[in-house]
Amino acid sequence: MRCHDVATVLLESSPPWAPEIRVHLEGCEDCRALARGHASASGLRLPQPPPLAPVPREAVLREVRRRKVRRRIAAGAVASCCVGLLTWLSGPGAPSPEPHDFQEEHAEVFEPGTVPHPELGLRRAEGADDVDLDSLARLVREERGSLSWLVTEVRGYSRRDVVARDDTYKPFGTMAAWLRPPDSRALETPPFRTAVLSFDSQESLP
Amino acid sequence: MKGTVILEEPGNPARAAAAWDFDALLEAEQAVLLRLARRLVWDGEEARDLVQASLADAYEKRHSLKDAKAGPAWLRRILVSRAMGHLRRRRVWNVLREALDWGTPLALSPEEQFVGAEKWRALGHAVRALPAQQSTAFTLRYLEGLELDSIAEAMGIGRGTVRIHLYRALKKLKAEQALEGDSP
Repeated sequence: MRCHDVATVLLESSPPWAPEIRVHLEGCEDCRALARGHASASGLRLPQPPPLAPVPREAVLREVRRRKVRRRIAAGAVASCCVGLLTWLSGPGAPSPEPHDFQEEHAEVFEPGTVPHPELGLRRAEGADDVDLDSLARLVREERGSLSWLVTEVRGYSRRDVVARDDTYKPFGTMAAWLRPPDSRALETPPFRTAVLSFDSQESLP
Repeated sequence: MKGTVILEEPGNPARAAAAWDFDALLEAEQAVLLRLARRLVWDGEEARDLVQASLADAYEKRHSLKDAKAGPAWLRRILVSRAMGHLRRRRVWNVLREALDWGTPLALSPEEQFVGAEKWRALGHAVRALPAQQSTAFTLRYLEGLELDSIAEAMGIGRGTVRIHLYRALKKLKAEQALEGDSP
């Protein structure tokens, strides 16, 4: 028999050993030491210490309640951390897109000679070609500053993206979406844009 | 507490009955659990804390016990699992304590003063020095007298692994002469 097999038999049984085990033990010092250790451990006679006082049922229930409280506190802390992280990521501290210039964004509307967008339903004002082009162009040049100012002003009061990025609403973070004024797309409605384009196209004429 | 258990689940008599059985099981097994815990950690106070934590574990999972006959083995498995975690942590702590030279870890409690306490403490000191799995396997096999299958089930490992832990534990204890004088 191999030492491995003998060790298996020794640990799973007790003396007296089988003859083949005894034969192996006579010739193997390691296995003999293991057999002695096993026999000693099996024959341990430990003194009996006095019994411990039982754990009261109330103590067990108290421990259960403590664990529930600890779990709730941990869950609350984790939830608070998640909410705080989300608020921080989406709040005023988060990078916001640069405010853009409306006139620059819609440059094609203000540039001379721009063709109205048919997909937007825009068209040139009727009778625009019949007016005195020189005087109209001069008028447009004079009025352009005030018209641009008006566009910016109206947009500042009505466009939701500008309002949402307004400094007044920054402390509210994502809540600004609920706090801002009602959406208004007045500047993008066909009559308004048609009028703007009419003035603009006349300006580009010689 | 029995009344408390019933009040917790007024609409479910079956679960309340299971809780009743669980209470009876706790009453019947607590002395055995305390003795086993004491032999696993070799300290009365730690053993009581361990049993309390294990009973709390068992109370929280009491409805997962389907067969009342498996109750004692179920409780033993919970206790052994807790004890092994405790022994691992204590082993790390003892290594730190020795490295920092903080001296004797704990003073003896009044419960540790009894006839033959010297021999008890000598063996306990040697077994405590073993890794958690080896000391647990040794205690369950030679001090509690469990079969290898029961030890494997309580420790959540294979029968062959239990044999390996026992083999190593015996070699170390024999080398430290902790088992001297007990040969029949």
